[in-house]
Amino acid sequence: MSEHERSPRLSGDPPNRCWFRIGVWGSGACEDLEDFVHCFNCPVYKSAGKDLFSRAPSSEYTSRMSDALREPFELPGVSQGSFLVFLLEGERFALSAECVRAVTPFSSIHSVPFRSDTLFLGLSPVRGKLRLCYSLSAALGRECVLPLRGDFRRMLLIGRPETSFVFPVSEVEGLVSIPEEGIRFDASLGEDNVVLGSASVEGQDTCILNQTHIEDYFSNKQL
Amino acid sequence: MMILGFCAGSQSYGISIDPVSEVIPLLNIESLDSGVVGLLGSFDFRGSRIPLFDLRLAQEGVTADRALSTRIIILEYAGHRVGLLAEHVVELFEVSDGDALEGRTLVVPEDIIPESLHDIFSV
Repeated sequence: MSEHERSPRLSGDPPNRCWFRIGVWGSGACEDLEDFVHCFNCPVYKSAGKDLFSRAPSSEYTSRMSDALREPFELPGVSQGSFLVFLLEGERFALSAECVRAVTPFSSIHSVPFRSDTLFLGLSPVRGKLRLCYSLSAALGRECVLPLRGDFRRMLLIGRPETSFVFPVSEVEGLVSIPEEGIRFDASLGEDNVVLGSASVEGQDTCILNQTHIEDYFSNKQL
Repeated sequence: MMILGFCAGSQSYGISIDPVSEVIPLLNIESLDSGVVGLLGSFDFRGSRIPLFDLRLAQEGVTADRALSTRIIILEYAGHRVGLLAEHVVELFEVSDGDALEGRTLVVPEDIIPESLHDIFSV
């Protein structure tokens, strides 16, 4: 294997989409994966992304954008938020998109001796870092089942960079806009509950999670 | 605090997102001979005409590179609305209060936009 095939960063050769050849989406032979674990953390990958934006815009693109941004922007009459809708054990949930940092494929969960329980499931490698993995089912006060690949297809990365955590979900449906008027707040749940209320999303009942309390709840549980 | 990173020539900067209302691509600019150093011209934006200030032009005497990463940062502060033409607007990061920005200078709009520009345009 040539030096180029081992690591474009070390050889100084052009990456030539090395992430698809020898990176995490290729053979995995790149020597830099030992240090960076995932191509997302590699300066070669980041630099290639930035290079895409070094191209000059076409005059057609500039004219099209000028036309599009010339007219006044009418704000919708009602305040509405953007929510990520996902499935968890057959139920639909929505969480404000503001606090979702990433949606990733399901990763294996490694339990931590004397620490893991029904709420704190263990550590999970997500985007090249070990993340604290929690059970949303347990936070909702439901019977917790051990998440297994197949039943749970995605992980949601939530929180701030220094206090981020993941929880597995069955599937992610996508982003929707929900007007504030459309949320049925449930006062009986109490202010500290991780559930805010419910709403009808595309004709289906969806449980709306409380963004602030979800972050606080898991942050307070951190080891 | 969320920080939007940008460059002007060889200098790297960061600005809090609080005064940033939008980040938009390069638009067609109508040049303006105003005498204000760095004032590149003006452009139509959402029903009004706002000034475009090129920080690199003000600092180095050459206009910002024409690239997809060169964008217009719409700043709204103290009753003013100004377009800041900035290079390498590709990064948004979070820092805690008191943290140093690696190789970047943290600025506020008043640091970089000259007051004389507001005499020409009123919002």
